[in-house]
Amino acid sequence: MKGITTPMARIRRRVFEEAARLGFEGGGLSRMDQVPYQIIPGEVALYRDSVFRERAVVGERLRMACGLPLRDTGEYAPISQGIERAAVCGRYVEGPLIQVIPFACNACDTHRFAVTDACQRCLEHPCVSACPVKAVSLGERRARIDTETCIRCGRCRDACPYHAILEVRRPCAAVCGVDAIQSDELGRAVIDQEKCVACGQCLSHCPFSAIADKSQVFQLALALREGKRVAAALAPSFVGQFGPLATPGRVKSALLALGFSQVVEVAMGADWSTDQEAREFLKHVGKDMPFLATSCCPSWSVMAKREFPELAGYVSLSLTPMVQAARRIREENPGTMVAFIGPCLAKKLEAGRESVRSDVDFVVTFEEMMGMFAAKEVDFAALSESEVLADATALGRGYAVAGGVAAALAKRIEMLEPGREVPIDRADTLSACKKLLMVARAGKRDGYLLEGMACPGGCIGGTGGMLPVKKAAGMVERFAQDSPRGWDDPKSPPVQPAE
Amino acid sequence: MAGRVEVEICVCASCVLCGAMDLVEAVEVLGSLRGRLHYRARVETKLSPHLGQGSHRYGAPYARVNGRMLENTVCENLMAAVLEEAEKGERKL
Repeated sequence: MKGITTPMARIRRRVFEEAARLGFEGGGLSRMDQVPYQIIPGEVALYRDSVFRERAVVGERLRMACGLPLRDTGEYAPISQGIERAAVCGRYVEGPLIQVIPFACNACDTHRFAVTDACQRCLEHPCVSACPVKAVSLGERRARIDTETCIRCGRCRDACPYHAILEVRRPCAAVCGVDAIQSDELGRAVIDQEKCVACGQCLSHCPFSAIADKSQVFQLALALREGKRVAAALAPSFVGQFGPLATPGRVKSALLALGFSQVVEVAMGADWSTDQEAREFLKHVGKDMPFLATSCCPSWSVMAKREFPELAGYVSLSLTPMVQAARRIREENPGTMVAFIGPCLAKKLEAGRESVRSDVDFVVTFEEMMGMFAAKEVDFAALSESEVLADATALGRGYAVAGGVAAALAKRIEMLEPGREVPIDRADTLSACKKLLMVARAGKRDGYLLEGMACPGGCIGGTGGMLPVKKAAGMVERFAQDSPRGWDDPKSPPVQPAE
Repeated sequence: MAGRVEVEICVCASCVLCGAMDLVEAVEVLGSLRGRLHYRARVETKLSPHLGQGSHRYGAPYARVNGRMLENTVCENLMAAVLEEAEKGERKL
């Protein structure tokens, strides 16, 4: 549940902390088998029907946090099975990235209508009259719906004067914009990996905390422990994510204290993307392209290319800010590994692509990073605030919030070709993005710049974030305003070197 | 004077990881519901870099309400503790 730390979210984050601790401490990795007992102590179940099941779920989460696959529920295997092989610093996340832990899933009804206590069993009972298949009848105390007969048209709900009939959908499926949630033979959710674009919204919306993603938090901690040179590429939505004491300067200090060799703003890569996409827009739109769609959100661009192949050529060819920043780090510091730290799960998928593998070694979310800070008991209050982040302009930092990418591009286009009109349309959430592309396919967005973001509110709504969207948006805005860098910086203009 | 409730919330890394910021918000919500909850006490929230002694690995998040330490604090328990203290203040009047 985004923005509320439920007991389940707490367990998920504790798992990241313990996975990081395993990596930082090294030593015998079979102690991983004890972690579920540390996180779920005692004999009494607090959340599920049994304490054994609670620990089993934690065990699977821990495996995924260490980048390991789920175990086969029907066969014996210790939690630590395969951990020695996973203890490799540069190990990429192997698919599937996001999975349902089968025995944690509640097998919720996929779609039904339910009569609530608000039903007054009224004399009119229009719900009964409205039903085309006689699925609604009057019970002793309230109306009842025969789920076998019901065709889920919703007419009973619309007719009820007390709003006593609710439409109930499986939360993970309801929020999935690409219809990737299916059911197994036991009615439990499973993710169709062919359709999934790794936005992670199902994960944050599952009320039974049954969905998890693989992580590299263990491998990153291991790399830092072994003294590998690792640069932290920090996404602009980091502000405020690590608590009120973690000012930007202190976050940089904390990352350096953990052992990162340098800290770079990914927003610097966003500036480059802005410049490239602005030039792409000016060169092609209205000539050989009807519109230009942004490319920075990997879930959006994969969905667009997969579900609208005829429009694939209109998605910008510009590299994402993550890759731009990583390439710059590597050019300036050959041999340095790069860890992207952000709110996004889809970046894990992006980093696993063959074309990106050589650029980005680790992708960890803010939640996972917070687990690393907790594992090392980082005391933000004691850290220096004097470290400065000054790699990016306000436009690049603004990428984190929905509308920010298009706004940056429009400003850059205005700089390059004053007076050029840039009509903009944008969407956040994948279902809204799909609608946007349908409109564009119908020829109603010719000449436009289209911004697509898979997460509600943009990157700040990413599943791996720690803050509610509204709060995060305000903090990013202030951080952007504080940027000391401008496009007119003569020493280091925020454009790609080739320009 | 209707009394004062002092709420201290630990914002060390372990406590933030386990939801300390939600606790801060929960106390703020109480303030906005003052009229409905019928209390007059002044609730003061302070953020602490580290409450108490030792590691917070197992008890996070920590909070303290008028000197009473709470561990593994969840929003509903913290709000109840604050209201209890506020009610004590009312009774003293």
